[in-house]
Amino acid sequence: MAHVTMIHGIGQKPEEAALLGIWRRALAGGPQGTRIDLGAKGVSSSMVYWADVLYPAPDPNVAAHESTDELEALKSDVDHIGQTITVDEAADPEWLARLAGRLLLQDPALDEREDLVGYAGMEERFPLPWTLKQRFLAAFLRDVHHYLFNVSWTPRPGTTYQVQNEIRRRFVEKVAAGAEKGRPHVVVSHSMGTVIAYDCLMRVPDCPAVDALVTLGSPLGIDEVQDKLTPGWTRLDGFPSHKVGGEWVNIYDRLDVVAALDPVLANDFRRGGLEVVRDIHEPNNGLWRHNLRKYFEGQLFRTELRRLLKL
Amino acid sequence: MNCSAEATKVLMAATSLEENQVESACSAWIECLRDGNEVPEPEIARKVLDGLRKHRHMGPLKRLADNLLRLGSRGDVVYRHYSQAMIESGELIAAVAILQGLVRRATPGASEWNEAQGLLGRAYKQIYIDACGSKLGMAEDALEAAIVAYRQVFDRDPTQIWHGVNLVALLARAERDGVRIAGFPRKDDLIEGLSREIEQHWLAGTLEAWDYASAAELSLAGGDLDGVQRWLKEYLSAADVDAFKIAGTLRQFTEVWRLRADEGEAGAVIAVLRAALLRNRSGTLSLTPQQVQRTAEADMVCFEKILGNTGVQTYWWMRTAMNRARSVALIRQPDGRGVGTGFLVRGRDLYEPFGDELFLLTNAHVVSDTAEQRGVLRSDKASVAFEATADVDRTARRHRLREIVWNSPPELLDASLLRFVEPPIGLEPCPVSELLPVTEEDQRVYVIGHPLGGELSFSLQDNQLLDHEGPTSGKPTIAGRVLLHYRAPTEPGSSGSPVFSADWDVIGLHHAGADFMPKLNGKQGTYAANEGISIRSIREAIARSLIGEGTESAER
Repeated sequence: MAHVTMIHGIGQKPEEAALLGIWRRALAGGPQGTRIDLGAKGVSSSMVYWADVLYPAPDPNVAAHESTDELEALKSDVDHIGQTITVDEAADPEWLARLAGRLLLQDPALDEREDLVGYAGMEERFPLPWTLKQRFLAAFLRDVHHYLFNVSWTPRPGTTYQVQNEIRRRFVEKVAAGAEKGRPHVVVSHSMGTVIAYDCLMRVPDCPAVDALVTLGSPLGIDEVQDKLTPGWTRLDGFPSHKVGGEWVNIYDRLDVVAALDPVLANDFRRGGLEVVRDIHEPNNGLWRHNLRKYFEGQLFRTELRRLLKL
Repeated sequence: MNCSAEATKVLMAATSLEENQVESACSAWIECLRDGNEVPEPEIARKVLDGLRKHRHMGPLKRLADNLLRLGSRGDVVYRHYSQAMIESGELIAAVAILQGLVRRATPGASEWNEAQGLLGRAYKQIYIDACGSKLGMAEDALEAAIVAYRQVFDRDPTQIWHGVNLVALLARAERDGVRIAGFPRKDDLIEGLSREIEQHWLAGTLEAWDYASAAELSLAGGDLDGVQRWLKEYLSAADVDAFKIAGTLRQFTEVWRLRADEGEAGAVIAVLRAALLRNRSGTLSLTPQQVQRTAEADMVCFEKILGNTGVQTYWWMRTAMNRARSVALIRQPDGRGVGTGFLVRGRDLYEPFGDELFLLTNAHVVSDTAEQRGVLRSDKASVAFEATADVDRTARRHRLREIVWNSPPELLDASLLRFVEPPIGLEPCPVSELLPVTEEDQRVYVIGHPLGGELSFSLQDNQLLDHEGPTSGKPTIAGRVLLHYRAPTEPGSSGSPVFSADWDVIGLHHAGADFMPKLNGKQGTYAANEGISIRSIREAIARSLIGEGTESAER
């Protein structure tokens, strides 16, 4: 039977079992015929949990993470971002400054031509309040920096991790366990989790192969992120062909703050020069477009996942 | 001889869903007490009886209380538990007799007296409701007797919310039914006083699940729908809410307040409670055909208001459940007695050449034409009724069967696929799935049937999936037959019922249940379980037996 290995994005999260439950329920929600109840369909699932590597304790407010209330969902993602990082603290200050500048100062989503946004130009655009965007992207900067530069980090007294080593170890362990469960084996990643999934599948020799990769709201299109995925990544041959036997499907919302800078991946992760990543624009609704639950509600995403799992 | 270890075993068994284990533990304790010539300590007896009541083992509770009394236990608490178990099993007259004695013996105002009066009120209330308006015998005075019992307590102690709310509910019911109850305070004054009491507890943070349900009932009495929804939201998310409590609230809202699920936003609270009950561990829902239809038509807004984030999802889930129930049929023999359950399937879902024709799938031990299966209903004698479809099924309510197109004996797949003389029109067949749920996670399966084949009611049961012989780790004992084991909260359901995944796809055909079912996949021991045959096994067996003659069969 099929298996899905999931990996979450930045920010403090509820504990592992609760987070896995939230993701499963998010996928199983909605009208009959669109919902995907993985367990009921015989598909096992697991979560590569890494929030505790960077954050001191799980978020006890589990309900907020599956809230349908816009503000509550946004707060659950930006309220607990931990310490931010300054340029001086960065392993590569120039790199961090460049990335920060692009993330915080550019907002390509707002420059998007009206006719390119959403279905038939009908989608509403709500500018994300600057302070919220700043908080979220500051957290993103820290987490992505600590991972890509394998920073030594003490999330709570008495526990210190080499961030990249630890998260890679967990990813490989979960993917190996998932491979034992059955085929097809699909990795579903969100946000910063897409960077981790790509890094492991492309650059960690011990990582087992999977059948398909799904990335949601991914920052992998950003040049500064790609720069730190070398050696391994090249624009002409960046597809993790050795570890992803089947497809890589990338779903994005043009107004998602993380994916917005460069949402399309096919041109940056080619296989032998060919564009093979399936980029799909699926607009989420409301103010906070990066939310996992909204991606999981997407009909295009669900159709793709069903197909990849052969349901 | 000290039997406290045996008493502990009863408490441990009580936490399981296995009634046979509870019965065995109770018997062992009684035997120990008898052998040791020992009367149990009143405190130990109370703890054990409380444990059985808390986990809803009413059969063992009744038998244990009976035995303890025979052994010389004279505590009122034993009589009280005995009477509660009797009420639960419908033995209302015996319960009233015991409770009246208890009320006489106990000190007015003491907690045991309060409890006994409350149970007395509950027994009389049930007698009134069961009478359905009849004035024969006890029925006429039962409503007043129930009101008096609750009032006895509430007049002495107005902080007793449970008694007070029941008093309000029954006074409202009396008003609606035109039953004159003289000399009682105004309902509105009672509501006001009780609301203040609840408010104080709310501020102090001392409300428990039952109190939230009482508060919702008070809001209903005062016509405050927002209040009903707000309190039910608290109730259903309370840590100590369980299937028993939800069932009690549902009973109160439907039987006393007479709410109907299709009556706008107010009635929709019934559908929400039903959904909550069915989704709760060990939840069992018994619905009349009319209730199935009304629940399917419930208002979605109410789900969102009460269940919050999961409201819309639960609404669709429940609606699908009701739609599936419509495709579940009662199979009757010529004298009209129900003998089993069957369900509608699309032919091609089991065998491609059958196309879109609709068939009925049931157990071979329910309907069979083979000579070896004597005593089983023959297809030409059977009639099939889809009870919840009066407004949808435009054909006759009773469908006749033309033939059995495929059959596997009870010792193999225990299945008969039946062709209608005239298939029902306007009914959706149950979708089938070959995919079995994963066993490592806490997966639920749902059985919809007509229990014991005799009642015109649907039983929807939440079952825990225990094990199955399917992929990836299953080891079928008979080649081509994949079994599923699941645990029902009550006695085994009806033969021929569909077993649904949590996604409401049919994954199996229910065929048996036992208290000592051998475990699957080479595991040692037995457990109380129900057993179903996977739909995939049936599908593959049909293909094997009909291949080559499939088109002929399909064209007949």
